[in-house]
Amino acid sequence: MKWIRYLLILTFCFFSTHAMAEINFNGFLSVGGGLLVDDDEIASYEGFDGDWNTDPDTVFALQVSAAINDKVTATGQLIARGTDDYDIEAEWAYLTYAISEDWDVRLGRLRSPFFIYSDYLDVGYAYPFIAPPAQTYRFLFTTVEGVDTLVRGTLGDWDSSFQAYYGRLTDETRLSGEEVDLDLVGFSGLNWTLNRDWFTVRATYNRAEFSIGLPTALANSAGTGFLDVLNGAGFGTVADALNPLEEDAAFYGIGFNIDYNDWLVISEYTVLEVDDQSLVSDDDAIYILIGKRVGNLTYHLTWDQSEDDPDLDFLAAIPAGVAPGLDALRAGAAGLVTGTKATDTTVGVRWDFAPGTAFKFEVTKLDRETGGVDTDGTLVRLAVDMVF
Amino acid sequence: MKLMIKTFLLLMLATANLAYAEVAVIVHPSNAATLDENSIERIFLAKSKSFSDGSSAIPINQAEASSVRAEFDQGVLGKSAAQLKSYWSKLVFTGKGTQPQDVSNDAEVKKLISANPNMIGYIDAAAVDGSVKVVQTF
Repeated sequence: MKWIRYLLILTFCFFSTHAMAEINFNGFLSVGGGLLVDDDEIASYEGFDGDWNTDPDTVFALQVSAAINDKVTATGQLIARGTDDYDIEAEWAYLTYAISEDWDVRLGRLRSPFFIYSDYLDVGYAYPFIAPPAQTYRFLFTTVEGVDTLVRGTLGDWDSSFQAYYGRLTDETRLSGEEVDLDLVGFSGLNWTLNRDWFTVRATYNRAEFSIGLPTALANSAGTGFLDVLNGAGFGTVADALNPLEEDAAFYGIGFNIDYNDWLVISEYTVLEVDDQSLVSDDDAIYILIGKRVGNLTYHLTWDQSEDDPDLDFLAAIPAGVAPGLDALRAGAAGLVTGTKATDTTVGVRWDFAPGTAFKFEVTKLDRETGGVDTDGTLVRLAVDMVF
Repeated sequence: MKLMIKTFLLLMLATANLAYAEVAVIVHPSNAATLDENSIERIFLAKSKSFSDGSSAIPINQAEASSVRAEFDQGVLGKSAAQLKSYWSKLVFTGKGTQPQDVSNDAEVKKLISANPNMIGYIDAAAVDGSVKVVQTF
């Protein structure tokens, strides 16, 4: 979708000299860092490890939007992240066509709108925590390239906002420490948000057919990857089942936000359903935040849990208890899809100490349960978020 | 010591009085739209983009540091400066809204509004004159 970027650059160049173009610049900045103070059992989490690291929470972004005429606006958001060595990337880049005051169509690179905070995922200033709860916000990608439509309106005393989108995503992601291709086709969905005074509720439903490239430990040209070995041993069906190639999946959820008398309650429950088991399993996740605003301070407590629900039926093709070699293959295949139940419990505080600037401090207790083995750890993290 | 405390309290009262001067929400004299507190709030939060008669509404804010802005934010919008900043960052960084234009003082607001029937703003009630029409005071 390189053409979208070219189109936007062209649009900016052409219209920036145009007397009508009204150009707005906005930016945000987050500088933060953290470490696992107890890393005996869990050695890494969301880019953090036993040593102080600022990369995962450091983000700088500049947004440019140009109103080309009454109907068309071009928007681009350039982001430099610590985790990408501060390489500048266009996270958003789209043209908005306003059909009417309350009805927009957008074309370009958009956010995959899975969650309440998806649209402003990196704008730390916009939410109480340093980052949205990681167990629930569990996807390796955050964008979709295509078209969407936004319809705003009122239903009695409620404000309603409806979004539907259709597109594709071709990207890279990391699997077992290796860069692999990610492709989502027929990537589409809808979501609906209703708000009244202090109460907001949001529902979302999304579908895609996804393919994820295999790391060399699973498949390689020398034929030594685990799936190659399965194929060689005559268990092609098991290898095919594990390979996440053209897999259909649905993702849906519901969330709400209460902001009443300086009390905050925010929760989202989401489910991923794959039609067939592969390396990717069904899972579900939920978090709930309870917070209280006291002057410039916001105290909060968040409980965030995800749980995999793998379907191990495909393993039946490998006979158990016949030969040690077969048992090893079976155990290897099962190991690839072993479910994890992960729980993060966070206590934190946000301090709005200057206009447009917030300081945040959090301590997160990590608990993991994989194949009957429990592990835990503690993360300490702080950040300063700004908007300008 | 007692004297100091008394002086301090008096000063506090005086400043408190200053800070709670009345705020008048104003429009162009020709604007006949009905505007209650709720519709004013909706316009200033970009939830509504037009007046009751259907013509487009352009809200004008005062400078962030001004006392009239603080009073309007707290009294009409019911939100602190930090809450509003966070609210706007959600809209601005998703391309869903633009923050109202800030102008530096009451005179600027009056000047803009007296020249544009689509604009709505707020000033210290003491600064109201015939060039604008008051729709609400808080």
